[in-house]
Amino acid sequence: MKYFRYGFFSVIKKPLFNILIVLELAGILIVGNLTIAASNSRSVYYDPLAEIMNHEGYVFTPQKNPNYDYDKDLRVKATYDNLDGITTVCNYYHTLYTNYEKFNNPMFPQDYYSKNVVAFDNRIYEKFNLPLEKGRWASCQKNNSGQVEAVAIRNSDKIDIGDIIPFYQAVVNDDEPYDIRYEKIFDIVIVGIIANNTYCPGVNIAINQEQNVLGCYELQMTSSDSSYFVACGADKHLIDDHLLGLSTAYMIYNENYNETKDSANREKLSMLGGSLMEMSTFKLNSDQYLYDQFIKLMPILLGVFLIVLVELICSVTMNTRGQLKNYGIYFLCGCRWKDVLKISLANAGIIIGLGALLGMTGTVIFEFTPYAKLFEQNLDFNNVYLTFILILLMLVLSIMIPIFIIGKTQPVEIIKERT
Amino acid sequence: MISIKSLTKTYNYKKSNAFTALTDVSLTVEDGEMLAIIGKSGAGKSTLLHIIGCIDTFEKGEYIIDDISVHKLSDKKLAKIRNEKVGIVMQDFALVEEYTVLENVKIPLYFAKKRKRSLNTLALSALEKVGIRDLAKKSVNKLSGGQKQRVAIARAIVNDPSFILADEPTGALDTKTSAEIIELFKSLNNDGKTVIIITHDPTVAESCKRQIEISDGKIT
Ligand SMILES: Nc1ncnc2c1ncn2[C@@H]1O[C@H](COP(=O)(O)OP(=O)(O)O)[C@@H](O)[C@H]1O
Ligand SMILES: [Mg+2]
Repeated sequence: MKYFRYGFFSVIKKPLFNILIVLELAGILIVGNLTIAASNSRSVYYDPLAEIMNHEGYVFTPQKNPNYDYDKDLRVKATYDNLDGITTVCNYYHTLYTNYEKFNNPMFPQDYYSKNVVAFDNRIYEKFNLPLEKGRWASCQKNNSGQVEAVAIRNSDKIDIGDIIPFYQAVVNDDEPYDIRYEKIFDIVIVGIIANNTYCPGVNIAINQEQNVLGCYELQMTSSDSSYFVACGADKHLIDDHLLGLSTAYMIYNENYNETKDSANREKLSMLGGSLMEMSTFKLNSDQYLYDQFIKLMPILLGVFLIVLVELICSVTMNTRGQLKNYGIYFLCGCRWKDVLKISLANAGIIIGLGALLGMTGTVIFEFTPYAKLFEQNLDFNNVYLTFILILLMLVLSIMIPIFIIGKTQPVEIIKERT
Repeated sequence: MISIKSLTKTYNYKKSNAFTALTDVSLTVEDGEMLAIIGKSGAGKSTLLHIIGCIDTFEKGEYIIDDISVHKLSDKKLAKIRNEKVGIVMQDFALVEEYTVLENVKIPLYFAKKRKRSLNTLALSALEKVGIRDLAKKSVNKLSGGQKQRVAIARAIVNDPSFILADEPTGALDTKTSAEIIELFKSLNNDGKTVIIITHDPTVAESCKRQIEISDGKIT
């Protein structure tokens, strides 16, 4: 207790010095955590497709017509369905109509607005863990009331959790061609809001130039006007029957896949038109992407680590040296020299404890600021490990250095130095 | 009682830069004595006081304090002697500058083996004895030299030791304040404490009942 008391004293009696060290420790923890978080957020895009990329197969992106072509979409779907010995993982988008009041624009009064609803293949859907601003990721289970759960990018701050948005399809009356009817299909209930500036799985784009996983995503922003609803494709309502568009598909060879089937399949796809890439190439490119991201962050991580090391050694050494004079006095008053170490440890423990607390609080607070999304932050368990490792490192150093300094010092020499 | 027989202290013992600071020193200090140790700078006065105060060790000879033979005593027992048997006062006061007067005086009480009743009461009564009870809550770095030395003396006596050791306690003080501090030591001596003072100052030395001189590590 007395050791803790004097350890505590040495902290509060030199508030400025100690506050500085606490702030530095906290700062290092925050920077370290954010760096790890940033690198995590890169694998967020890789992970949902990781399993698929491990299979043999190919990635196919159908050629798009500049003008909307419903027949083409149907042909794409038919071709996909007709492939032999292949499992196709593909997302669909639906252009549907809604008269939901929140979309009403007094400038352009209009009953129905067209909105894109993206239905995901449930083989990859459940692996998506994109950053949400609030709420939760929509479940693949259809609820009793026939509503479809979806997450949405907040469109100009209008959409919110709990909103129930009716969707219609437009049907052209056969007898009067200019007369369009709207038929209700389902209600979407919003259960989560996707964070702003998030890369969401794209459906209506050709794969990017790098031809890697990031190319399968589009940057979604609050500022963009197009509403974006993501629901699970397991719901038959969404997949069948309605106006649909097909995106890049991941095609995996089933067992007993052979050359005959393969050349037939490739023939069908080439007749459809589009680009075909081997899955192995796609994986290679994507691995490269992940590696590049890591290499980009590596210097920061290394830098942070070095700063921690140097800063810690300096401050612990400075602190121990600064306290030596007082330790000499404790010795004079009947403290064993060995026990002076306990005071030093209590001192370090308090500072590191405060620094760790502040650092973790700071990290969590930063996560809730709008800036976090700008840096594509994504906290997870790696952060807990990192914090743990850094604190451990701090503790080890703040034990080793005082042991070294105090062990090397003769108390009588400190007492003599004074006179 | 302090009894030192044929004590030799060598700094950097068995090393190439070994230096013998005390050679074959013998000294007996009876209980209740007030002793001045005088001598030139570098003679070995402080070294002797540090050994008596169990701050420093020695290689040869014998040192017995109140029937305890100090040579090769464990760290723990040496700390106990520093804590209970001797009170040490330094020229530069050896106070924790950031602490208050009371906190400084309480340090030996915290390192005491047996928990005393109220630490504050004990510390305040020690401050009372040195006449600065009213300064208890002040921070040490706001005090004058004389006041600081009183705090140091209060801390030296707070655990009620039999021996008070002072290494040039007036070295940093003016004449008038020096006289006051010496009066304080005298009154402690009158209360039955054994007082050993190292000094350069002849008037300080004369106010002690007995003087010894050290030169070149020997008592003359
Ligand atoms: N740690 C040390 N190593 C080597 N020599 C020392 C050490 N400490 C003191 N000395 C020497 O021992 C002698 C006695 O020192 P000291 O007892 O401090 O003298 P005094 O207090 O009488 O001035 C001096 O010559 C001093 O240089
Ligand atoms: Mg000296």
